[in-house]
Amino acid sequence: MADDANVTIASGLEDGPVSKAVPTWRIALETLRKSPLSMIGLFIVVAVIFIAIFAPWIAPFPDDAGATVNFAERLQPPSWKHWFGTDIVGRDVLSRVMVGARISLMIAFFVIVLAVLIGVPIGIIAAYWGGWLGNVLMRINEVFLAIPSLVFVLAVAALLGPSLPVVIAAISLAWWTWFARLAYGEALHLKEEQFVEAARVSGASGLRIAFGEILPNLTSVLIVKITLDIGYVILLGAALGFLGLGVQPPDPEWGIMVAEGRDQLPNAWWLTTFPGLAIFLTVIGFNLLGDGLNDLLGARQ
Amino acid sequence: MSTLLEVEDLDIGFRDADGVEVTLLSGISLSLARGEIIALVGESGCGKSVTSKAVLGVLADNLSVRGGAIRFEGRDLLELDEAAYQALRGPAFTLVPQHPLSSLNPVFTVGEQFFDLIAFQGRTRVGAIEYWRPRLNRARRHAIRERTIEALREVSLPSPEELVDRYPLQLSGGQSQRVLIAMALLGDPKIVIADEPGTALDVTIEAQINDLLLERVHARNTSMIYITHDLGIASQLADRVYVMYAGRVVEDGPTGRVFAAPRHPYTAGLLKAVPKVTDEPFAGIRGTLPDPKAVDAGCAFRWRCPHAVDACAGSLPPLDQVADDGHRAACIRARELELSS
Repeated sequence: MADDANVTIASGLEDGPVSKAVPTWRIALETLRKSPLSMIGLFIVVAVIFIAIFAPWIAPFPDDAGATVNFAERLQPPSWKHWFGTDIVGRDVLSRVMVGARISLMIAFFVIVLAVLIGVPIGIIAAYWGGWLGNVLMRINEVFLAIPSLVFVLAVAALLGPSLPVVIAAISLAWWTWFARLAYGEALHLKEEQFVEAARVSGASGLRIAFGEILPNLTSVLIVKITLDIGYVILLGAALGFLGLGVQPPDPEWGIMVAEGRDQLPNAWWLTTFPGLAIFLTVIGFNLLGDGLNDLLGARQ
Repeated sequence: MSTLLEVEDLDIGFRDADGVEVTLLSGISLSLARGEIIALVGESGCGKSVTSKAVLGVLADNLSVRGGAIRFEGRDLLELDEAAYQALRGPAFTLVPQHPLSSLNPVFTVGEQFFDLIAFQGRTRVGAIEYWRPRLNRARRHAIRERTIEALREVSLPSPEELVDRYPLQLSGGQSQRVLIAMALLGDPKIVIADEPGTALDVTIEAQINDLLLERVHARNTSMIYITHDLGIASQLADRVYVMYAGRVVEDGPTGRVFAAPRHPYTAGLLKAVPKVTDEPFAGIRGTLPDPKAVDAGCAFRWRCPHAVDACAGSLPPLDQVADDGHRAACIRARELELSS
């Protein structure tokens, strides 16, 4: 069998067979489990998403999400019947908080999708082609970046009249810049990678390199950024609702609920506390998960 | 043998931050015949890689070609637009890169890296719908996968059926380089440019990679430009060798001839610097490459040359014929010096 040994060496079997790979998602879950805070974040996020999806079916008084009145039960403190109490017209606060999760997550979802779809291509194009095109794109980006997002969103919402689509459009318009900056910075160093040059010398076009080679390498940073940003967008949406320039009553948006309950403080404390707590927990949850994902995906690069 | 690629009097330089024009390559002339292997040798920074990038048309943005011509099958590549150039990369010439581990995209499996090459190489302006068509077609996907496995088998990779589904970080350096060689040869290129393909690997793997390259190139009568600073490898692989120093070719000719009887002190110095098992003390070349910003009219090697005379500072020695077999050297004392290798 001496011949066989030679054949093996000559055929390039330098370091033996590679062991069967463990599925990536299992490695990810194991790593995440080592960090209790990330697990808490993951739990909160999953719970909020679950509540948002199934709110109309699991809320104790689903009809209270709308413009119903029940003066017989107005301003009741938390009890077994109404865990979070009732508001000024007798609606169940728990039900409204649960349905409110839908609105907040919907705003966050559409804003992030729009911001990624606008920002990421602009950032990559600016980084890969550079030159005057890159300069123009990034200067426009900086103009948007220079205006504080809350001020910008307030101006747009005041101009176009407050409604859900306007809120989503306004926040997206303020948010794409962050994704453009992130994609720009990442793409700027990725375009100097050897594999980009290797793709170029094998005949790949600029578009193919920008979106077929560079973009897929942005996946992990984008996942982290998206997770962290969902929390902030929810916060901004709630702030708009609080100021009366966001979603309009009777929709049970968390910000509106806090605003509406403000007059009843300190007696009917449950009106502001529970929606406020919902905002707090959701934002914290997405942040903890985002941090955990950052450690997880960052360490693997 | 007919000439496939001809580089003539190529000048490349850049403008530095102070606006000063710096020359990196000057008067580079190469010729490559069909099925021929030439080696570019010289120490790091002498312009070997810049030369190869100029041929591939992928010079860094700040570098510009100041003059000369690069003719491929009679066409001047410098006059092509980017789309026409792009169509040549792959079918006409490809690169086997220097750093195999970082030359594969880490987020794609080996099979995915081959996909677009097999589906689209040599074509330009592929529309979005057309780009997705082979991905959505099961039969086409399967055919591309089979072609990939076959290509991996041709470069003697073990169990290619498993390898197609691996990510680059699961491969060793040698395996990565074989994958890259397979990718480079996929379009059946007429010229393979190998830029120190073994430098990042250990010596035994490097030898295997060189054997593989040589075998594949001979099997298809492909021409090759092999860039190396290892004179031993150059002497084994190449038909002809170009010795470069400070952005110029200082000596060229048939490999055996140049290495047996070097006519330029730099070549002789390089040959002496190859470690050998003898009692003689190790002899290198003293000093380092001159700063490209500080070149003057004289010979750029005279500062380090053991045979330099006053006349060396006067003018740049031209690359003159020293024998009738095409052996040329750029040294005013090329004919009088007694150089041992």
